[in-house]
Amino acid sequence: MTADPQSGPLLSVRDLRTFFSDRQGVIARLLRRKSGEVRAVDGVSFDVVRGETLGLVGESGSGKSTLARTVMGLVPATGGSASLDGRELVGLRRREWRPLRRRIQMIFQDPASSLSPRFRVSFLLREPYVINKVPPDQQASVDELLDMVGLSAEQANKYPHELSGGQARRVSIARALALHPEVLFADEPTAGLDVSAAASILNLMRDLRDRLGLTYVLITHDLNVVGYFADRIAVMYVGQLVEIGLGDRILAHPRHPYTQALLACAPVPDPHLNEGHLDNVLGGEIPSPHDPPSGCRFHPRCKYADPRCTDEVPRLEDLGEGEMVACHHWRRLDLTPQPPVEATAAAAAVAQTTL
Amino acid sequence: MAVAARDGKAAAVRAPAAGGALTRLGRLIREVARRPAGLFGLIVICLLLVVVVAAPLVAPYSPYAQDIVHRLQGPSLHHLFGTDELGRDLLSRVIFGARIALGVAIPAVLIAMFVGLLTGLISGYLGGGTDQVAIVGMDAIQAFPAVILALALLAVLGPSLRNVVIVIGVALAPGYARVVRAMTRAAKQNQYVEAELSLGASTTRIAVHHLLPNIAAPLFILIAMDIPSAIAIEAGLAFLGLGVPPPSPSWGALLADGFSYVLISPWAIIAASAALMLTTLGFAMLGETLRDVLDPKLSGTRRRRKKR
Repeated sequence: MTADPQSGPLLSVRDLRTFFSDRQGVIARLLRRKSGEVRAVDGVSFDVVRGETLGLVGESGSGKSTLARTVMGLVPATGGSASLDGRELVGLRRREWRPLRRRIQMIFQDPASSLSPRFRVSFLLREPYVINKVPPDQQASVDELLDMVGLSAEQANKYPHELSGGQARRVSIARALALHPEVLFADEPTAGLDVSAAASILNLMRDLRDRLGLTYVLITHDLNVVGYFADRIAVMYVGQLVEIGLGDRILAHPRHPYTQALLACAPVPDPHLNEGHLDNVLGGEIPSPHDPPSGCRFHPRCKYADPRCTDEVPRLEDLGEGEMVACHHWRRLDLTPQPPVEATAAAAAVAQTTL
Repeated sequence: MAVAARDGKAAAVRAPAAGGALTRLGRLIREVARRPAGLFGLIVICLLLVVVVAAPLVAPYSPYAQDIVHRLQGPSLHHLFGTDELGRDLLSRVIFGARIALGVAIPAVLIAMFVGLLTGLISGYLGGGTDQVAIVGMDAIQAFPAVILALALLAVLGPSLRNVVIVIGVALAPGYARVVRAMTRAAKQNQYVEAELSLGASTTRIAVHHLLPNIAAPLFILIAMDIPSAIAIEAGLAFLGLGVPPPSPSWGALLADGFSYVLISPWAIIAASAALMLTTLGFAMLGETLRDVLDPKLSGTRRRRKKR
């Protein structure tokens, strides 16, 4: 993988699995009803090197958030491993996690509800230090934290419900960064924000990355967001990685049909370009990880599927240089001339002139 | 006026935003007093509290002083409520009875609240096996009507003021545990709990700092609503002879004694039931008004805000 041979990957995830069992009552268990499993994360492996930004994309329900929460130790892993700078994270007890919390942090999806409602911003910003018993000389002041995320000092006296979505998001970021983590998981950092607030949050995150040398794992379903500043992109589908590679390459030349379909779904801000563009749109819904399709999990929605896809599970094929894809037919398929915006525009222009 | 009322309520609901705890309490009381039922409840409870605190000053006689010659009298200038079968002044007994009623009900409800709060928080937050055990425990207690359970327990423990308090506390605790458990489970879903966890916060810290404040308000409502139940249970136990032992002037005991002589003089029963009724009504009304003020979502279809 792309691991820098000198330092090794900062975060390394291997065959990570998170299954949720269907909770059943005492009686159902006595009657030996088969209890189901939801394989939210099913054998995911990737590395993140220091200073890079990995974009983790996929539809809702593909297991992105669960993956992050598993790595963060908020959800117990069923198997596999995740290590931070060589330290295993899976199966750690809470006490063992403590010192690592300072190195790996996460910001959560919903800006409004990820701040405890009864406390002022100043309390919330001091909380990371109180919880982790950080000595005062290593603490940043509330003002410094607010300033870091571009908020004015007056915000310190506000309660979360008095903040706008963007402001709340900034407070969350400040809280996560208060401990000077090396790795930051960002779960849909732009969710619930309007376009301009989202853009300013992304700018802030990029500035902070450059300034503090942060390593991001950016979880999103929005390809415009990853395209904006992810170095590499990993595409998830029903709990598994289907493709991973350099951001520019994936956006320009997707290898997996699912990636291609995702790209085709990404909104293009010109209504005239949308015709034809939407031909590749994904039909149907993401299958339930409770009962994933046989063979390639994408086959029921894949227009290139053949009998082999129904029977045989495609391996995640390592193409070298950190490029991987899990598709039987990727070599055969010519997905490369992804309808780029210019091409579609040209085609539309041609169509118009011929009319 | 309606606008002012709404502002006041909003401030009371969005408590943390407004100044100190005292200002908030003052605002809450004003908001409660604005409603007729709430005003009635407040007045009754304030009167009751005054009577309880100043019982020896307010009561014209000692509740234990017998005057056999003037037994079973009706109301007169000497004995405003009349006298009982031993010639004791009923007004004084009712007044001292309030001490017993509240002296039992308030500690009992507080015990119920603390026990319920603890079990509810633990079982709601931890879930799983702990939760199941707690639920079975609550079900076991709630399977009996409160009075029957209290009777059975008292029969085992023996009647005394302390035991009555404990028994009523136990009987009422599952109600609190259930409410707290349900609210904890709901509050636990909030993303800030996960955010706190990812910062490394301990279970205790999350429960005390981040869950408790969000479930406190309904508990006050429940307390106000449960005090009348506790008073009624206490009176019931005393009526059956298993409450605070005689000669303590528990309202239930007054009823029981009066019941034996009801054909000769109904005044003991009238006095005791009037006291019981007023008190329970007062607390119930306060509780309902509190609920309306604190949590408008919970109140029924009744129009709450009166236009003036």
